[in-house]
Amino acid sequence: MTSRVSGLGDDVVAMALALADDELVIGHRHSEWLGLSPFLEEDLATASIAQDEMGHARAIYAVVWPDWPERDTLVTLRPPDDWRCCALVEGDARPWERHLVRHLLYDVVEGHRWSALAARDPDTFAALANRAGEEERWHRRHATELTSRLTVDHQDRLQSQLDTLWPMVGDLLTAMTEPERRLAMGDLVATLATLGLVAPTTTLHPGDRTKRSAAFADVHESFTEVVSLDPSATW
Amino acid sequence: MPTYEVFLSENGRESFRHAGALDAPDEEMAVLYARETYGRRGEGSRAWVVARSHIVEVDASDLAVTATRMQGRNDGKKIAQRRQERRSAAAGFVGREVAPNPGGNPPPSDAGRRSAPIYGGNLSPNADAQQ
Repeated sequence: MTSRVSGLGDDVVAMALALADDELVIGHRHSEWLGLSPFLEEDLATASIAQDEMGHARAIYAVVWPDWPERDTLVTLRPPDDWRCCALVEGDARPWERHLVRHLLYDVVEGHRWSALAARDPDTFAALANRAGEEERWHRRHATELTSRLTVDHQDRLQSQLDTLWPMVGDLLTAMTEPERRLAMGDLVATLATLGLVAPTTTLHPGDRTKRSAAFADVHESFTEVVSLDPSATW
Repeated sequence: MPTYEVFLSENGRESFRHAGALDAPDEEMAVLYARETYGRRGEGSRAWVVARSHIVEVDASDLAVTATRMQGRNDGKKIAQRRQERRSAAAGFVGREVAPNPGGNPPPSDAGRRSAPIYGGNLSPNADAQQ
């Protein structure tokens, strides 16, 4: 899809859309844990992070597609084939420890994705990346602190989720330069090590974002459920 | 899980106010949850998180030793009550005397009114306390 903003290159748009769609879908997936977290404070934190991620998605959509009816349509009526999110965020992360490990993997890499996007087009994205970065710093801290408490007694369960999710992590490196990828992955592996988790040694590459995983149909149906009741309605 | 009490100060100059409590595995997590539970919308620019177990509670019998002296803590209820009584008296209940008021301002004269003015009474806590 081409941006409505002239001067924004197709590669920048593709990078921004990959991040925005990931943010929207993981935000939705996080929100599915509302009321199910092991204790109330964690529920509030999860809901808050979900809102932050959706807010970031909205902010990117607003930059790239400033016309609001079109922007709404992007989320509500865009056909599945036009989405550019990745398998890691599309999946239904159950049990809860898989959700936690996904939150950790995603949010450690996310700061690097914002930096890469801002570096590609500072005029358009630097301020936004800065603002989102403030929230992302907190998401990352939340994920690492909570994981570090749980690896004490349940390292094996978290490690097993890490092993399952790891092959999908490569998709987060979409459109990054090689040095940016090395930086992000180095940070991720080191962070996991401080938490007592061992990153598999498989080399990761970004996958094809034009293909949707099997889980996408489910999450897409979920977040378009209401609007599908009457697609022609004006809200 | 231990319980923590959260205090917020809005602009760094005002005193800290109790915002609420939360449960967290430890201090560091309590700090994280305080942000989400009580400070997400900029309710404070500074926050304290205190383990409830570290709070020393003062026994009720050691408190409020001067509670009978109205000038010390006047929340307006007793004044409102007295004004109500005066209004009733002034409205013509027979056999009811309004207490004399030496030294203070005279009680408002509501005689002849169907209803008293809302702010027509004497609101000075001192004058009221002396009656």
